[in-house]
Amino acid sequence: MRVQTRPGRLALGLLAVPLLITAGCGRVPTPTKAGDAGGGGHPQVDSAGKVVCRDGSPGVTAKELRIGVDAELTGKAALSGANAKRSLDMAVDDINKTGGILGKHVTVVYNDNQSTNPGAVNALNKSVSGDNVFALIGPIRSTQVQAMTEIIKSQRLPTMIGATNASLTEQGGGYIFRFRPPDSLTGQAIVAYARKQFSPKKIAILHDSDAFGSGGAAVIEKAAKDAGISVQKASYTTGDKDYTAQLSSLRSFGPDVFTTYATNSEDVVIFARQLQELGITTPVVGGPSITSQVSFDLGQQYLQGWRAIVDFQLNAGDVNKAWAAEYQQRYGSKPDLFGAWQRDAMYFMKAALEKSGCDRQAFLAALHTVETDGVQGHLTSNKQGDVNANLLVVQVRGGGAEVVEDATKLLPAA
Amino acid sequence: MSVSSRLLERPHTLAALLVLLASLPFLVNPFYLGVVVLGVIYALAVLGLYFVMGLAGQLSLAQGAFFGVGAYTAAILSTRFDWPFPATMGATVAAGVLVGVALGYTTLRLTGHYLALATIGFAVIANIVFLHWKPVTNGADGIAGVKPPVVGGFILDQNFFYYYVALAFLAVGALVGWRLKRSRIGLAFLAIREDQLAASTTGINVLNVKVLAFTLSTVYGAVAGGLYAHGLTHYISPDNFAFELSVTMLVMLLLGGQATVPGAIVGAMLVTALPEVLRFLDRYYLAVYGVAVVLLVVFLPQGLWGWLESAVARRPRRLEGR
Repeated sequence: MRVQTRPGRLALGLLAVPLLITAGCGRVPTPTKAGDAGGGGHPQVDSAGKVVCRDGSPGVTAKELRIGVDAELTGKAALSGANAKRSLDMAVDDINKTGGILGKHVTVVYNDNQSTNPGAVNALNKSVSGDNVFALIGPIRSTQVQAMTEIIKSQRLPTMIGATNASLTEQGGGYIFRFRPPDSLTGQAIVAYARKQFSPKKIAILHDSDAFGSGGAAVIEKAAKDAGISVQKASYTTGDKDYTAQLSSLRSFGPDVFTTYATNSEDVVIFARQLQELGITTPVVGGPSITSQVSFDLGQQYLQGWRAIVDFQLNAGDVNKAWAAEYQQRYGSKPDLFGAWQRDAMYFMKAALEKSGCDRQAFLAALHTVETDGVQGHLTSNKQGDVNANLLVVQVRGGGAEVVEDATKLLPAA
Repeated sequence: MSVSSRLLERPHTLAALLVLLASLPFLVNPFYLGVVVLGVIYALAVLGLYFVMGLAGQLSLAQGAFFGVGAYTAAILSTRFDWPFPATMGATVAAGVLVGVALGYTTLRLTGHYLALATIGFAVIANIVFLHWKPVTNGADGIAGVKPPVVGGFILDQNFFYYYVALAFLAVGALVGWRLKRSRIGLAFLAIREDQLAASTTGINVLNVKVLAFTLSTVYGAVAGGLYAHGLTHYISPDNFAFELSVTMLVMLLLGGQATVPGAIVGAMLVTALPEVLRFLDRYYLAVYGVAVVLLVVFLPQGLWGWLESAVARRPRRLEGR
């Protein structure tokens, strides 16, 4: 019996060693007491009054400024994550070629969020604890941002997002800035355009059942009902492959306009094909995922004539044209909205840093005061942190989309 | 089986594993701290699966949904009714019992593939309810701001402290699992796993014992879900509890070794940590992860712990031969 018990005790003894060694190392954090608050900062300027980037803030070293990216490089939305990475790589190369930001070389540290909420949180923790970044370019999915919000606030991490659920910037406590128009605007514009163009009595809505899709669908439903239009909704789950049940049910409702609010372009193409197979010819007006490059690559033939309310349109404006040409030359493919907002966020941060220096609090304040012209149009933050209110109506023709009109003009003035 | 082959089944081994787990926060950097908190929480849920699958031999594919039921119970009671942590955790136990008994008595007359299908059905239905019962679950937006436990005026919201809260639950769960396997009930579970008909002829009420195993699994799952809601991000949404989670938990149990408590814990910790450890592989981690899982299943069908047990069992035999 002694022979058998010895390894057990030995194991216990061995395992106690690291405990004893590390117990005195002072790695035990202090528990939070209710009411802990953070300090403020001032722009970093030298004796001549010129803005400089001093070392000391997280992610700032003598030569380098580290920006984290929490993106879907694998999983359900990996295609859009790949476009985001390309766009950011290009933006950072261009910035570094022209001297970086305040003389610092910009390094982007990517962390894959696996297209899931826990993955987004793990990637955020890695960005903060492992990579020690100055600021973060976060995800485009609303629930991922919601899962991250508490940590972003507790770490006081300036975070740029593309997720469009209306409440996110409000919940962000001043640390979250959004570079795409919130769903509340896009949904209203879909209905406003449908009314102007088709004077519908009935509107059908097919939407993803996630936070993005159902949030957008709720806005469309409310705007339509307020205008006296009757509405029928059907939802699907991200990644579904068969939409015939939803499409048949919506067809039997007899809608004058078919609206969609889809999260992933991969899904849009599948239901577009099935819509065609079912012989449904009702005009379609939908959200931005209709005209992503992913949609065009996977099945542009099914999307011909579809209209979308988008915040990004290829070749709209000079900045956009130059950017698209460079992107095409570098990667041999066209850029899309999954990449456009990250590029704009990077340049917007650059503009703010050039006003504030590398002090996080001063940087957060500067984000509220700068203005830039990005590939999505003119950008400036409102009080809440919403930077982008540009919307266009576009229509799919051939392998791209053409601008029909400025959708912001269809909306009541804010 | 010789005495030596049961070496890893001795209480010392479980104690050593728990000591190792207790020292983990000192050994990992803050990033991995978040991962190990998640691992310990998943381990508790997987321990539930150990009762129903490992011991009683019933294939359940709804552990992720039970996890979700617990998470929603805790989140709703914490955010809407301001219940403190101990009360919400008590409620998750009640929710687990309720789901286990109700679902157990209706589905456990089924066996094999049919039972697996019924549990898949429950997992899918549960997710649809989380998603669409908006007034209660807040739909796709999920529930934010679930409150962390508070002890003596200190808010245990940091991963370092929350880890020990979760570990305390896991330790209790593991001890119960450990004792139960060696009790009459545990033997009844094993008898049912080996042969239901034979078990019934020895006086075991097969249905009741199966429902007990199943209820243990739902309670463990629901309590783990409650821990998940109160810790880490304090936010839950339906996509956290999709069917994939149930499959992942099954993989955790199979990889660790399905009929042992340490196996369930090791499997859960390993499968939770693997994608993060493989992060340096960038987009290729999925391929490596997949190959690693396949290799483990092919070459270690008894799971890592089962392999360790047989490896340890082989060594003393050589000693005895001398």
